[in-house]
Amino acid sequence: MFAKQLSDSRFSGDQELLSRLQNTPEIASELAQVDPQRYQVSLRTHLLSSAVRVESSLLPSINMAFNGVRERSNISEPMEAYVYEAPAINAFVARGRKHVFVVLSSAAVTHLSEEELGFVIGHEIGHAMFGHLDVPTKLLLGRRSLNASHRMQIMAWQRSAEISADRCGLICCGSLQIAANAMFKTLSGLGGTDLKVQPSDFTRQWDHLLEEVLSVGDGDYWEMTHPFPPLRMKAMSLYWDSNGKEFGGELPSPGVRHPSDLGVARLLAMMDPLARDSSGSADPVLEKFLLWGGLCLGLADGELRVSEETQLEKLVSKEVVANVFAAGVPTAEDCLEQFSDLITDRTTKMSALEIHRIMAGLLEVAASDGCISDIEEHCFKAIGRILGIPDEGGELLLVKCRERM
Amino acid sequence: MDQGKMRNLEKIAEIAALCGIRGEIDEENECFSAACRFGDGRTQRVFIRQMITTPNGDDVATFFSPARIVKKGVLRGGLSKEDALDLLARNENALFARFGIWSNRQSDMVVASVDAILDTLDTKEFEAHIMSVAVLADQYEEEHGDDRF
Repeated sequence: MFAKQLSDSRFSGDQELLSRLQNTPEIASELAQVDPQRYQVSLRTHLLSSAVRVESSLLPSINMAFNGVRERSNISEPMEAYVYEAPAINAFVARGRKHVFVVLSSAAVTHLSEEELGFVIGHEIGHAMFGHLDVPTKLLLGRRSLNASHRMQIMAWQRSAEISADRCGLICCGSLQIAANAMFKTLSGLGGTDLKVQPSDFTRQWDHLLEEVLSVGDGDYWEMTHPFPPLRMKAMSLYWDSNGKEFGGELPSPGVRHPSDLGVARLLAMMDPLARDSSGSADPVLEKFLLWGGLCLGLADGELRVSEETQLEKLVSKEVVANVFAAGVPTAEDCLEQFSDLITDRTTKMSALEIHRIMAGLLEVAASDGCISDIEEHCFKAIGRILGIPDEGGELLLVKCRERM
Repeated sequence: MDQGKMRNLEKIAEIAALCGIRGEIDEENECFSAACRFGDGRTQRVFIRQMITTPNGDDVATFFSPARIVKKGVLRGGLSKEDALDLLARNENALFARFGIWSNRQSDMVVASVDAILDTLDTKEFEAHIMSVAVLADQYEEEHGDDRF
């Protein structure tokens, strides 16, 4: 049952991006050419010579935590755990010739409790369970023939894989609080058994990080191998909460997209220019611009029509729209003011492509009921002026949109 | 034309529209083209096409405008050495754009062009790039007694 819970916890984005990687001819061809065995051959020798192997007589508590997770996860491959000397809390998993190795830094062992180690070990075993080790990303990224877009694809998958592994860790330790503690200690370097982190407090850091990311706009986050730690915490929190709410504590059946997956994909898209750029998908960095601009257009003639609301919810999450209405129905003027404030708060210039994404998204909202009224046209041009678009530019976009309608 | 290029050209066309510039996508030549009209009645056609993607994944667009075509023949070898030196001297003084020569077996074409990273370009820069190459090419063309492009 436990092993099934683990295997069913895989983030759907991880599977989707992996299959996209495998179906991208250039990447598939490089994958066929890399030879991970070259490195696997000497890995055990290296670990046995430079780290200590976890055994019941040497490190009993770690041995217990490791074996507990390993046995319940039903992994058939032989596994060994090692501890190496390092001042930072860290861990990794790797495949050798005959074994899978879970390797912990000495700081992880010193600072983390047994339960917190359960989270870390569960996370690493998750990578092995989901077949993440079958894609040697480091070797792949070293191939010169792959272009930036391919590299972005690989990194995006790698970050998605971390989400799946975090879910495994979460199930293994059985508590969001323990996972938050482990994550907090890893990030801060702080230790001690009396350190207790409230997941909601830690998750709040994501909201502030998000504000920073949004005010800066495009950043080079796509090069990061892991999602921002507060983002991981938020993703675990979403997963944990929706299990309780949607499934009465039970996990969804295999093959079913977990209810938190869409929200998590939206968070990850912040770090992935390809996800931001793909047609038909929402751009999380521009979400608030689309929200307030879309509401301004939708409410311009009095009330938000169902078609407009549906279209808006394709651009921003349903939850975000609901949050606005929970505080009362705003007027089109209020929304325009909010939109204007967003531009003021933005610390970097807005590129033409970003303006294009906003204006194109807003036109979809305005045109969703089959016509663009005069008042909607007026609001659209007003939004354009805030973005520095001359009226003739707004006019031209309207003409093109009407031609398509 | 591959889908990625087409998508970028559509983006370019939409950005041009944001600036109030009407133009069309030329699928055969894989570029976007628009006509610039100057106050004195002269016109100049500007083309934009995606050239390369940088190692960081940024798409680079080239804005260019043809200024003169010199045919190659049995007795004529296209642009003369003096013409080439003149273009070099003009490049020294040109702001925000440069002259270059595109050659094939039949002719040499003088073009004014400028490159820009598409993802970070703002609307004012977009407009400025179009105007820079259009003005530079049109001045050269006018000096050679023509308004063909």
